[in-house]
Amino acid sequence: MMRLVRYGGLLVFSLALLLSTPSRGFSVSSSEIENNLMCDCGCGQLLGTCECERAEAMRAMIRGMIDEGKTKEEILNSFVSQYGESILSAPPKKGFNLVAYVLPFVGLVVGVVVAVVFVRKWAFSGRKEASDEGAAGRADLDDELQRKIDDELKKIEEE
Amino acid sequence: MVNFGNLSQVFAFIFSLASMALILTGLMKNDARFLESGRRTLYGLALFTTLASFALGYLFVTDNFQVEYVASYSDRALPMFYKVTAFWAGQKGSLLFWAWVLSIVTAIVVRNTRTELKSRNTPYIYLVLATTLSFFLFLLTSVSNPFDLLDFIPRDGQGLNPMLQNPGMIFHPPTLFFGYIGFTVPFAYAISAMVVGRLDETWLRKTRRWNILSWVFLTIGIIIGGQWAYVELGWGGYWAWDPVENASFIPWLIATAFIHTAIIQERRNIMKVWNMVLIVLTFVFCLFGTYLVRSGVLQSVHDFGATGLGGYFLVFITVVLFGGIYLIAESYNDLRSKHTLESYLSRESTFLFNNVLFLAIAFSTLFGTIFPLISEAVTGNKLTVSQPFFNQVNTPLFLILLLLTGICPLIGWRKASADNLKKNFLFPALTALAGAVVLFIAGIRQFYPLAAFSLSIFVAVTIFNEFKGGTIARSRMTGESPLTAFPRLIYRMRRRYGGYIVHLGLVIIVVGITGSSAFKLETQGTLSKGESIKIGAYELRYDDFRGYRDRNRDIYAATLSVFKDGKPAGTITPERRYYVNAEKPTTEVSLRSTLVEDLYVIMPEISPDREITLKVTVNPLLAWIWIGGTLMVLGGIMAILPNRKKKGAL
Repeated sequence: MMRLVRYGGLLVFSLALLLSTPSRGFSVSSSEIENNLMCDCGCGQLLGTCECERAEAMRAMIRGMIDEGKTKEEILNSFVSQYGESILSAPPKKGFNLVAYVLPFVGLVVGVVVAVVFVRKWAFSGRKEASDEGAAGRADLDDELQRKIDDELKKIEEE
Repeated sequence: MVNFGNLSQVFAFIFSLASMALILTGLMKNDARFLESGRRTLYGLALFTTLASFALGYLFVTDNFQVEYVASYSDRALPMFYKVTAFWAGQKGSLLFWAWVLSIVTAIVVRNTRTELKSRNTPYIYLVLATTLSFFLFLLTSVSNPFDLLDFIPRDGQGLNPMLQNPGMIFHPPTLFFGYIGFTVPFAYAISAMVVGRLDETWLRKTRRWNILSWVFLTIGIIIGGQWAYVELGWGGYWAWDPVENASFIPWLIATAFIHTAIIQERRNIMKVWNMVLIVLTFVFCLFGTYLVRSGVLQSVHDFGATGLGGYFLVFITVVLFGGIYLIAESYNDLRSKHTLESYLSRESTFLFNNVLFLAIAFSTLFGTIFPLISEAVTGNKLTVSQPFFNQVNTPLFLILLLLTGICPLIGWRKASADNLKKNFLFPALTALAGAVVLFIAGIRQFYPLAAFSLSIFVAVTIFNEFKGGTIARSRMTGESPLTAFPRLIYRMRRRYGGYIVHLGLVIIVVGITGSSAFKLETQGTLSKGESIKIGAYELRYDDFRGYRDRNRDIYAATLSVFKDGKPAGTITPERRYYVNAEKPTTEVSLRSTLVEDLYVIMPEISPDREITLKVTVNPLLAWIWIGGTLMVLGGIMAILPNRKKKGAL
């Protein structure tokens, strides 16, 4: 069971990381870059969203750089060198920032493992309780009877 | 009226302290007279907060600009409608609104428990409510008083932020506040249960309606907030993962997890510790949401009035959090139930995993929200964490959650047999698979949209099966026709089917979000009269331009004829507005909304010779987000409709 949990966790973790990686396009559009940058006016909005004069000036800079044939990375780096990393709408995936990307999935895996451990423990207690009750002299139930009881219980609960 | 409001507020604070003192004395002396007096004092408190609130409303309506708060958020030209809603436009009014609503909620609880004063829990419930009220009234009377006066009388006020001059202002802040405030009641019941050691499921049963009602209000607040952002901010989106949006979403996620596990405790008397943890966290994050809205610690589009109350809120939140943790630790042995599950595969265990997912999303949202502060503290590096980060991290988590939304109802309580699984899973899974193939052939090749649509089909089919199975069973049992059996089944088992309707609403929202984000079209262009701009199947022709004055704003509107596939499809009129007292002009979105797609047009620029710059967006399936949200709310309301025969607990 623990092996299953470990492999499951690893699978979820790898999948999440894989899915978290943005796909790379070949052509650069202005709006694609605008969504990777924040407006500089202090409004807290994405560049593509803000309508202030600062935003318009920044958009004009982007269009100019696209016309010059610069790549997305080059344009973003140019803004970072001018305004600092806080101009990016998401932290770059490097150094300490990786914590932000990885920790939620680590949290998920830890949560799943803890849940599995508890479910396992409770299910074990449940089985033990059932076997104790059986040993205490209750009549053994064949599968058919057990199913009927389960069905009746289900009906009662649904009501 | 200023003095009247001030005095009412002071009296309310005195009454809250008096109520606490009387209840504590009653508890210490074991004297019911003190408890009764403390209880009645809470009615008085509600009366005085009501009077203070009416006083503030009156000051807004009568343009009393000597009141600093009124001068900051209103002006003479503001329409009456918005003068009233300006009440909660800033920090001070929001706090008074909080205190007012909480005092009314407290009065309702006091009235509904009037025969239960001898129960050991009840005085502690009052005590928690009175303490929370005392905190807010302390802030109002000593730190953030909405009745503070200026040294002079300004000729006019500074006006209301144009973005707040939207019908959303009536519903969005109050409903969110109702949601936040509502969770004070289950929190108070949980705390009292731990203090007196009555740790069975009674507190959950008694607060079930408060839980769901608060959840419904939070849901309404979030949905209306999204709709407001969509029509007001002019960027074609509805959710920006802004810190304040996140602050409302986190308690919603935790409360949703709590509502699920509360069902398990009610049915199986397990997960008692976990439910206590969840309700304490829900309340803590409701306070955190209120704190974050205007604390100014994080950059937000909601920074309409930061007044630096952060320190007080942080102290209160810390007390609530550590007090809750202490009580849970103290009660741990009593809370620990004899946990037994009959099988790994049971609805109980899948609910536990759904809880893990809810909390993982809440955690990632919280962590992303405060990561700029963490990063700055650790590395000294200032960062921004916005939409692209949250979309990347949360989307896979949401997809797993959606899968679980489909799986949970398929697995029976206690123990699921292989036959049961096969019977329940096969058809929905095959339908989803077939749907995925069809969508793939139709050209949807991106992973996320394909996964989201396929999982939506899976969940929708499982819900449909539940409705179908229930209707057939009832029809057989009662002899009713399916058409009669269906509504009767839903009404008779409204708690269960209300839950399914909420799930169905969620599926519809997922479809709307997926369609509008993955297949969105955008274009921008500058037009002279007679020129056109094309986007997808649409062509927009610039026909006319006019400027006029309307109440507190000058409006410049362009009229454009819309053609879809070459056929006339009406007109749209994006506007640019110059509000009195506003620094910057605002854009007014023009929207042509259908169930298939929204045509969304804003006009960011107008040149002197009336050339207009347009930003045009086509958002497929977006209207389904509002439809799904409405269904979620209706499902939630249905789940708490009272029985005709039995009286509700509260």
